Amino acid sequence: MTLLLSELLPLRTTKALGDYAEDVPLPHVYGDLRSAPFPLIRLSDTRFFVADHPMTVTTVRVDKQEVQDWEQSLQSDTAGHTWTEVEFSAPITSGASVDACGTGKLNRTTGALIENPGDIAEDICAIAGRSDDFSDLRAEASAKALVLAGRLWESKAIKLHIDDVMQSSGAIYTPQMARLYPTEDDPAPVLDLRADEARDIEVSATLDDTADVLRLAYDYSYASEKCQHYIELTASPRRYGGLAKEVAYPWLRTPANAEAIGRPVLQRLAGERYIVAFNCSRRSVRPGQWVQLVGNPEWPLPGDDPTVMILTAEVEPDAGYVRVMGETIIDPLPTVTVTAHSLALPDGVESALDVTVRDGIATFTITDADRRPIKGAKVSLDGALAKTTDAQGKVSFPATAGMHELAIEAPGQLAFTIQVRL
Amino acid sequence: MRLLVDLDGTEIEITESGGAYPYLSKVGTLLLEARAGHLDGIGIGESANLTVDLANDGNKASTLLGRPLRATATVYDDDDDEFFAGIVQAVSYGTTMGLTLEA
Repeated sequence: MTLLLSELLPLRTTKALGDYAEDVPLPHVYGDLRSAPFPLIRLSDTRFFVADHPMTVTTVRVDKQEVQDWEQSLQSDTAGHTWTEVEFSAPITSGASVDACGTGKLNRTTGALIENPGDIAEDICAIAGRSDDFSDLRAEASAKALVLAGRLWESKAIKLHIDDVMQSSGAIYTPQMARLYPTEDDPAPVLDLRADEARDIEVSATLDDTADVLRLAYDYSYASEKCQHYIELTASPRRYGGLAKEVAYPWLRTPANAEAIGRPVLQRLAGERYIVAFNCSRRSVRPGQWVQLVGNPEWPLPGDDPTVMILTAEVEPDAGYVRVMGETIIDPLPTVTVTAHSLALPDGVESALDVTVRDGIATFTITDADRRPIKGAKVSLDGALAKTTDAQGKVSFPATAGMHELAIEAPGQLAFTIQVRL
Repeated sequence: MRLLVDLDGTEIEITESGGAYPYLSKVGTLLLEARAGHLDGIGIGESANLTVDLANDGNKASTLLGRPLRATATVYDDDDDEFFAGIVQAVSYGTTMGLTLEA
């Protein structure tokens, strides 16, 4: 049966496995979650549920400590459902937190990991018996090497699950199409609208939803219930007084993907953006399409013919036109640079390490698992004489762009050496 | 315009006044909106939907369609292009029979 987007995604629950104390949805896992732990569902003192499909578990932790006395197993029922469990050789005390890392669901035809946002969205729709088309998004994401990893575990509407995927991909969607927006690529394909095809043009702008700085949190951990990393992007020129905006794209996992998605989002926030509404005699125009208003004497702003991303369309059955609304960002777009980012730390290190680079000075900030500054840590860059972090957990070095070796030691708290790119 | 309702594999076509009775008396405005959770203020509303009214004098429309909740339905425009396709999400009965179709 086909379900509406506003209906609950029909995830199976633990009731399907028999009588268990908890009746909770059985999760689906997508993409590479080898560095983002997620909780397991206790089925007995030794058996824990991982995902409602075959997948690969790479590590298991009990109370945040990696353990070895477990085995992964695939279970099936008579209806043909197959799921993944972890079984321990000795009972796990009740109240202990048990989580795991691994790689998620595979495409049944190709055997490839489902991690392209278009493929994930299509798989979610397939769970609901829907066959929505995400081929445009799949192609655009593939061209950018954009992959996601995350987990369905909540009982909520189908469209809200898809929203999670679209949000982390920086994509917009309707049931008919999905595509990356905003994007740094040239808009394509673009539908040219002549002056007689776009009438009663209204243009407006507002200071709402503007920013010069974007702090993008990503790499969500389902175990700690927070994003593990962030990247800070800054636009130039600063049109909005340095206003900063914080966003979370939980299913993004790599700094390269976070930068690729965040850069055009900040260009939109920091750019000169106008809302455009008009009556379009091409009744087939729909949200998600690019159009260009060609040589239109109604266009009130100087410059080139505007290219507009259509966001809404009101279709009157008997009208000779469609009332559409969209937005355009006027060239030149602001320049965006990475001004700070967090650094990946070795497995098992619960601290956080952030770095900002300004005017040739790299400033590292070391905090503990609760984001409290670690004072007095000895930090050395490329083997130079160690410096000590101040009360804010900060220490600075002159540094050039490129790879560097960073050594950190805080007695009783942490000690490691990592390679960092500045 | 015309409405095609699929009732468990049986397709029922309802056209505007002038065609076979019961007829399609009104097709509402279709609001299509892109959803974009990462962009404030864009597309966070309901799923696209469309209301259509059928003349229901003598309960002829309701007798024909019965209880169409969850039936798939498609509205075609005068050029016979698909105007909207969805599932019957709500139904009301009276002198007109109202169907709300949702994507």
